[in-house]
Amino acid sequence: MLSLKKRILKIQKDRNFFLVMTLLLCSPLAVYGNSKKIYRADRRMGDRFYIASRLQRIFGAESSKTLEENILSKVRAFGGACSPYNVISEFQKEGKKRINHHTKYRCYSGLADSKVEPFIDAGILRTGHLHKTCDLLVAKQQTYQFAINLAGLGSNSAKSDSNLKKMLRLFYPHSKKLPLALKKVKNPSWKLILSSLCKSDYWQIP
Amino acid sequence: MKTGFWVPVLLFLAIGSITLYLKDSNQSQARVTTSHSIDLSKESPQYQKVFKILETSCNHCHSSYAGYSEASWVITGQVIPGNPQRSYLYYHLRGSETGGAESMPPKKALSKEELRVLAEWIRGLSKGLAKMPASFSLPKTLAKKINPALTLTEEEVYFRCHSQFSRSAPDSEDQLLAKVKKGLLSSVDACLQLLKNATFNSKSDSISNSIRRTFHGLHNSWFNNFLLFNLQASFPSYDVLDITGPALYFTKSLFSSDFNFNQILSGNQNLRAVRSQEVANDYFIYKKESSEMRLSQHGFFVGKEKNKSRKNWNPNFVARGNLLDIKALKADSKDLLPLYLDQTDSYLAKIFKGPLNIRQNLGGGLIGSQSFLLFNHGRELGETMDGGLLLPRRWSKMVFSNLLCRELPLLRKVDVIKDIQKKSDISFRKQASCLQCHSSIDPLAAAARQMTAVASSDHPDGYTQHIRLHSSNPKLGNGKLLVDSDTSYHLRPPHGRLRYRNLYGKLVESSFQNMQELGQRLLEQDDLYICTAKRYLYFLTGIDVAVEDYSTQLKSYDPISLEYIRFLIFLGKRLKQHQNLSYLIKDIVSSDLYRQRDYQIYASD
Ligand code: HEC
Ligand code: HEC
Repeated sequence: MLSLKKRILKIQKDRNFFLVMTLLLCSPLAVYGNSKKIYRADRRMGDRFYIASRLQRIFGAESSKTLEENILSKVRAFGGACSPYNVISEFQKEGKKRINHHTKYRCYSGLADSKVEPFIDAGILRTGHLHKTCDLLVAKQQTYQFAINLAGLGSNSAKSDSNLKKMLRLFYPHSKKLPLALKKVKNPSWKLILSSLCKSDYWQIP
Repeated sequence: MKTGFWVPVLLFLAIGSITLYLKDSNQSQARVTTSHSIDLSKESPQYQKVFKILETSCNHCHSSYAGYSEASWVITGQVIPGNPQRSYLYYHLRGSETGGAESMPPKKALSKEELRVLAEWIRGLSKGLAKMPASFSLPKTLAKKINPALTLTEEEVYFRCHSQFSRSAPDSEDQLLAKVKKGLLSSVDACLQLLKNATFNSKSDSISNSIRRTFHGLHNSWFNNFLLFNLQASFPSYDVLDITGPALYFTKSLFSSDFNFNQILSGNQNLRAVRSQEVANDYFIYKKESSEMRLSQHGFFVGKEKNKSRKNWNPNFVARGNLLDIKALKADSKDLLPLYLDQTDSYLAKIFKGPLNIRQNLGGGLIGSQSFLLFNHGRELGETMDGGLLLPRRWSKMVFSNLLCRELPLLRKVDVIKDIQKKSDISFRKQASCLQCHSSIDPLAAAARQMTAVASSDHPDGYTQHIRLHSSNPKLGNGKLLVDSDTSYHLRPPHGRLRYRNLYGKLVESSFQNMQELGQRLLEQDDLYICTAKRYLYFLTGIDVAVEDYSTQLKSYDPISLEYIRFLIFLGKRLKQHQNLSYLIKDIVSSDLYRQRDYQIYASD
């Protein structure tokens, strides 16, 4: 049996030990404890309508079929709900048929497309469709030429700082800060430059 | 591919480390609709003096100020504690020497002494948070700093909101853009102007059409529609009943000047979209263009084949084309079903004589609308509610999840112990763990007890689904709210109870006599407003903040989470004050978060 005094001492020691341990254990815990994340940060990409409209402006009217096939109809890759009633049906005299005019806002694969997310963060699907689209648009002479002309360049324009800036302006028309460190360019073709800009994620985030 | 060039290009918008500072927006546009008087004796002595000044010099024009407590000024963002210079209220005052608007009051300026009292009061306000409901206060978060390198210019902010609202970039002719460039208009005002241009009474240019389409599509994506994924689905229904029905309420509120946010949950009107082309439809909306099933050959049917009552039916169609307006739907004779069935099986179906008005609404605006009831009734065709197993619980669940952003269970064990009915025949009335959900959804579902889902005919492709509302008979008395089975349940007055823990962890227990009152009960809480803020915040920034009972885990959230919660509550409370969805958008667009190139915020170390 311990004497009463000793017992008190021991309890005090225990208590000190307990205190020290609490401090030791709980300080990292306190940091870890403050770590419940209540949010998800998706990259706020533009939806299929935004992407198609931006690219159409850059590559011209000739791009519309490519964009319809590879962007607008890929509802679940890019997001952007359809509008079920955005179809217009009217009587036309062509062979006494009624013609149903569909707008690009129609539901491509059924009414459930009206419930998709307003945008979908970059994913394999999205990236794949976009890359394909960019390759097609740059490969096609009319659309490529349209973009080059819009930028105020020609295929043989020098790869100068100011010309590169013109190209960047296609995708970033309102950004104040454009990169100046473009000197080290090892002479890639304008096609390559255009397609790489087209494939980059940044312009897709409005 | 050589990387020499690509690195700078791709790093062009490179993301540095920034910290967040969510600005308590200093551009208040509080359009207060109600003005309760406050209990002045409960306020600080300093504020009592301020209140007197406002009372004599301002309240005859700003009647809402009479209802402002000290906390209201902070919560609505019109006063920044500790900083008179940045406080909207103060920098509007003539002679405040803040460089602000300094236009108030229009005629007689406040005296130097009065100005001093106001400034003293604001300076002395605790820098802590706006007052939260009792037992709920957010811990202070770390100091924050801003990295100006990632802050957008005014022009870029306008480019951003234009791109998001219309899903196209502004073109070079854009007049608002020109004004923003010249510094004649702030980006925030330009963004707000875009929304104003899209209001329903203004003329419809293509940008306005796009903006309406964007927001209506967004609103529509918030609502579940179980019918769409149900075996009993009758797709032709969507040519008679707008599949975007619930969203119409939000869209109307955003684009009509005479439809405040709180009207979304009040009144007994169904809404009707006016669209650009109201020509006859020649194919079902759910069919592709090549469909062989044309309406002119096929159409809609009422009645039953077996007893030879089946015949063509010519209902009012949902309009097609671009959205031009949203109006109250007034039923006409074409909206009356002469016959209807309790199921679609030709042999078993019982036939009922109409007329059944397919445009009825139970009250409470959206929650009692035909579309919200039909898409989420969750019952078999023909079932009448008995208060026990038979209740529209799916509908209750959707009220919580679609409108309040809350998922079940919404009660704690201690809240439901008293609900346990040991002798009940119904399994979930006997156990606390079940009641944590069922004590919320069952008494809520009582509000929709009058509904029964029915079909127009037994034609395999040409039938539509509708909600029949039994008229209630007060003579039957209220009866018990939660019974095992009551054959008159659907005919009794639709009283019920809203029971859940709100996002501050407070137990809400309020009774209602009908759907309209339930709508009002929901409007009294903050959840609906904060849920709406959450959804717009996600749309505008990609930040998706979960809404839950924050009170139980307040200490464990990371600092950025706390900032977001704080911001959401701030936005929601302001929406509750101004009742205006475009101001909510404005509040988000004017936040520092929206102006960060990558929409990211970081805690400082
Ligand atoms: C004679 C009527 C009148 C009086 C008195 C008056 N105001 Fe105003 N106030 C207005 C009007 C009208 C506007 C809207 C002006 C505008 O939008 O340009 C306004 C706008 C404001 C605004 C900014 C916009 C808003 O909608 O909130 C503030 C803040 C404000 N007043 C504060 C005050 C204060 C504080 C006082 C008393 C010291 C005061 N006002 C006295 C008529 C008045
Ligand atoms: C997380 C919430 C939750 C919990 C916990 C819960 N339920 Fe339910 N229950 C629901 C919802 C929601 C529905 C309606 C489902 C629907 O129609 O979509 C439902 C429906 C039911 C039904 C169907 C009634 C009918 O015929 O329509 C039964 C039976 C049921 N629950 C039993 C139980 C039992 C027993 C327990 C406890 C062991 C329990 N539930 C716990 C949410 C819950």
